[in-house]
Amino acid sequence: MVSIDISTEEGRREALRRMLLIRAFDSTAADAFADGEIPGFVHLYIGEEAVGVGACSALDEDDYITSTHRGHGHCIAKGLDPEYMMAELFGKRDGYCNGKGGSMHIADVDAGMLGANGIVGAGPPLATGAALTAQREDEDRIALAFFGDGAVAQGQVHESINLAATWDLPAVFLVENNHFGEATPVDEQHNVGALSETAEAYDIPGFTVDGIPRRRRPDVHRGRDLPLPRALRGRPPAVPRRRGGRRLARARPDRDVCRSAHRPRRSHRRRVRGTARGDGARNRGSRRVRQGDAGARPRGSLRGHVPHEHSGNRVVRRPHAGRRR
Amino acid sequence: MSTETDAGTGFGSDTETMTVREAIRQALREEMTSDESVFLMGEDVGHYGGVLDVTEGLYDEFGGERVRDTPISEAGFMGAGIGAAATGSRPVVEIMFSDFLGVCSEQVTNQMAKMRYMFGGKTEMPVTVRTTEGGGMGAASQHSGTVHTWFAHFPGLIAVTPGTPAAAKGLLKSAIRSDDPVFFFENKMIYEQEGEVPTDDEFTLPIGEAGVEREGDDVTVVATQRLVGESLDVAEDLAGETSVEVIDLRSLYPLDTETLAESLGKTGRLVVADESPLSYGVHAEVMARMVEDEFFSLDAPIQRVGVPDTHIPFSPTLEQEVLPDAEGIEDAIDRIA
Repeated sequence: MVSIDISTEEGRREALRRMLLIRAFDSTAADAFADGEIPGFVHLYIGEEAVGVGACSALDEDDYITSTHRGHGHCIAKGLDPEYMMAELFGKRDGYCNGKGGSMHIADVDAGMLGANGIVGAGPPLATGAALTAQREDEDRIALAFFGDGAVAQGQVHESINLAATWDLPAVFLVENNHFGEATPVDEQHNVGALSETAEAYDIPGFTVDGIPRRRRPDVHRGRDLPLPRALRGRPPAVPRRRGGRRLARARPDRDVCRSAHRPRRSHRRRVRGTARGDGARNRGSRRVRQGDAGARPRGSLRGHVPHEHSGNRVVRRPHAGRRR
Repeated sequence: MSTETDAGTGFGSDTETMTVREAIRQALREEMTSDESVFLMGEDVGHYGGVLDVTEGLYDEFGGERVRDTPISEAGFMGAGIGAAATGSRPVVEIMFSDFLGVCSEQVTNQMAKMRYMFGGKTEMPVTVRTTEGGGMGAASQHSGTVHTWFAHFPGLIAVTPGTPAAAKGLLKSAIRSDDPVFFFENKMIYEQEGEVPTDDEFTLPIGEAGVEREGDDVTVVATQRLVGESLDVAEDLAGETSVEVIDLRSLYPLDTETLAESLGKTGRLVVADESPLSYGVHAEVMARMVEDEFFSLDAPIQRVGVPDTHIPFSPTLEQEVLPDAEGIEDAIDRIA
């Protein structure tokens, strides 16, 4: 049984409710982060809600997913409780990971959610293993790995797809193509046009769908027409690719370059890579996050996007930005 | 993480003579027989029986579903082992040579070692990684390394290094039963080494406990893997002259500080023998703990025997030059006894 039956009016309402919940959750998280209440990094799923909800609606409740560093949407789509998620973002004992994981590591194995993941491309091997358990124990469960277009360049992703295909495991590899891997456009990272073409190399089904809700009804609705996981149950793995839009990316420090679908100007990209990030733009950035306008940044405003550490009530700027995943 | 494992039944009265290779194979067979969730996977572990014949016969006995040949794809199948362990399976993943662990180190360090911790303890990670290490067969630098220090150092992982057939069997069974990830480091030069192994199906040895293989009063030699046997030979040669106590360290992490301290309290002299490179490794950790806990028992500087900070060369002449052996252990004892 699927977790949300979007062939019914009630199911479609539930799907929309979860999408809006993701939007509300991440909007709240962005605000709290901008206000300095959430430490570390926060990567937002705003703009990609239909992908997570569409895919998870076709899963059974006891199916497995693996997620990415941008995992809040996957968690909510899989049915995790936003209260415990938000507690985790705040580093609270009551969070899903008792405050030891944070935004990038929320997990609830009992709910089939095998973890958000701070390493790009690390989820697919884990999903392959979950699918192996399902196959070995002859369970009617599947495992779906969410990963981004950037992860398609990772060797371990290809190794997992090859393993799952060769062993005929009940696995689905879902590429969320939001057009940027870190701050670099997808066409500078891959030589194929449609990433789902990758599936051909492994002789498994691969197809591309549009994950951006642009019509009156969100595209999650279209899931019923597609060979999503439900239809793949018991069949060879597949690589659907959902085209999403990273409307808002992480709340720092790359939010400005993560526009939806538009390639940044070369001069802009140079600034992203070359600018020594100083202080000062934090407030401008937080306003922008609230407005949901991550695209049109004024020239020079990249400066100042520096990870901060909180020392008591005082915001202390760290000398080095550190890894951003 | 929890380092609690089976308390171990220890040695009973009935034993049989077998090699390290047979002891490992028997441990795998017994655990697969008693627990359906245990399965093996790795390169050529099935049809071929393992590149050093350790899993020979298990494919015929248990079938390809439970003794799985993988693609040459360490990151992929190590990750699959981790995902399987997180979802209720109990995989034993073989990495053909320990040098290949670098190929899958992302899955080991960022997933396997951290998941239980990062998830607030809400998952178990019952995966065992078997691999073979050590020089001595002219396999050159990429097939001869001793890398166990990396994993003993990394939080969230357990690392064991048996030096006898009984330790191999007892520790591997405990490793498979552990709900935390265990790295089981075999030394490729002692697969044919024979010893007495308890026949009881339920025989296990607790992880985190060193074994006193020979009692002595003058010098303690703490050794791992191949160097346990070499140390016992030295102790036998020196009998009547110097009384040498030989301890098989067995577990690198958790480390049995208590047994080592007790021995050092008796002998006052310590030699640490391990085939890893000398700097920042097992030797250093053992020495640090003894200096911390048993400093006033020391009658002489602690000696270490290992590989100089180099890789293992191909030429047999050069290889013998860098590998620690009985002669090196005896020299170390001579310096302090």
